[in-house]
Amino acid sequence: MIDYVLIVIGQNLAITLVAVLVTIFTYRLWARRRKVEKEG
Amino acid sequence: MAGVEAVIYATVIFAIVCIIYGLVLLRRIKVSTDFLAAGRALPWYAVSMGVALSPLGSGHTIGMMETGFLVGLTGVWFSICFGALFMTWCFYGMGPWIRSLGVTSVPEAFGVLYGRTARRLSSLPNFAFSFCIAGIEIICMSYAVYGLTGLPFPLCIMISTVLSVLYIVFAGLMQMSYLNLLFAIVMYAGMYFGLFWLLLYDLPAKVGITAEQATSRLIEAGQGFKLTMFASPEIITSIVVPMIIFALFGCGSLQMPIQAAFGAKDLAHVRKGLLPAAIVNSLSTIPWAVMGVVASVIPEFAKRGPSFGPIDMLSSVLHPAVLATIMVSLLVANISTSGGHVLAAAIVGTHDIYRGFINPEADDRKVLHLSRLLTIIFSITGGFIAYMLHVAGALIIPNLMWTCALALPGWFLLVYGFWWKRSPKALIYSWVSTWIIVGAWSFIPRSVLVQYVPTFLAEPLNFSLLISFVLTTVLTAVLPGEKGYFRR
Repeated sequence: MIDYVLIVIGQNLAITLVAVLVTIFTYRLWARRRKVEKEG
Repeated sequence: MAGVEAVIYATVIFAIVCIIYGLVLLRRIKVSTDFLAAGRALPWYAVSMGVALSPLGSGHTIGMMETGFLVGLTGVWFSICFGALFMTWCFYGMGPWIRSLGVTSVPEAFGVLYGRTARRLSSLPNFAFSFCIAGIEIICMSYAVYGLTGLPFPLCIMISTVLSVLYIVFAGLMQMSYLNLLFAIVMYAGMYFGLFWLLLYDLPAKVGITAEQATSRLIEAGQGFKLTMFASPEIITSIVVPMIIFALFGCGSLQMPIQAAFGAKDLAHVRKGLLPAAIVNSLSTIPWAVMGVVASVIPEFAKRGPSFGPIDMLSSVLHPAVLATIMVSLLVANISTSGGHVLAAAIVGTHDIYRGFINPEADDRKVLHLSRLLTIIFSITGGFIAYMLHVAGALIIPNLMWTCALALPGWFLLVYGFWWKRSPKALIYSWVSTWIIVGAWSFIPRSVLVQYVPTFLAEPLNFSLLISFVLTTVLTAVLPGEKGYFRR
């Protein structure tokens, strides 16, 4: 049972981190592009 | 119950912390904005834990024990939906958009975007949602008090109602957000420590089966699917898809889950809190789901059913000190959500209904007093709702999802209002039509519905998403309106 619990914790963390990091980097890319457009 | 004194002390200490901390903050509450939106001065870490713990309540704990008991670890997708989807949406989408309007509540945001009637209409689902779910959260707190003390359940409901009042009545959002920082630590320490203690020590010693034997029993009984998040496409479709709709579309435009973001110092302080909030919320269901799974393989507790079986297992198997840590963590998880809902209902009641329509000239002191009074009244009515749910023997997650179904048009209307087009007529027609159609749909027996529509649409939440999307999109496209707020 404990190995199943650890696997689920790992899967859970992995999915969440991927979603969060993709969001942060996409936002930063969008914000940088928007800043360049405004300044340009 | 042996050692009950220790666990009662834990509850009393918990109440004293709420009171002392609330009284310390009381001096900082001078105007209603301080109470309702923490003076718009919350740093990122308080916003982060405020948003992380606000929706982390009945669905993540008792609801997850029930789901774990019935279908296993597939249930933990519930917190992934909140951690990965809702949190990203709240910290990088709806939270900053609404915070940039400088408003205190979601109905007020509707008012800025669509006008007075929209504010009035959007008050209704927000008010109803918070009002009803406060009751669901109080029943979950009552399970914790019951597990701690073994007192009669109606008395546990009364104790939970009092704790819910103490949690927010002194300093509102400020008290809630800072206490959540402490509660996050207490909750995580309690639930993970309790889980591993159960699996490693008390389960073999008191019940006579090891964690490995419990696993074997599940597999032998043909219930091996309970041990994985990826049980089967059918289970994932029937359970995970409604969870996504609930977390992203249902909670993503409601006052209560995102209100801590409105109290942030600025937009940067909203966005900064995403990562810790996502992780805290995402990992919060696993211990409860596992406890539900374990209870389902022990015949003595399995026969008590999904709601009381796991709680009875913990009460009778765990060492009193470990039971205290796990039940206090259950209590803090649910009190943060219950308090958040009571506060959200008070915000909508005072800010949007009383000051918005009944007495726009009301002075700030009067609004502040009314806010406190409403938090007490709504906590007590939440206690009554909890009692009725207990008598009806209702399951937690289906109730949460049904309550959310009527708020779904608001998600599309806010997104369209910010980025596409603001049509007040489209808002009124689509929202009222959705309420009537989905309300009627809910009263048709499921056995009749599945004969005429796909099973997926028989659920009111899924049906509401379809109707909301179609009506809001078509009517916004067809009816006249101004450009979206960010496109002006």
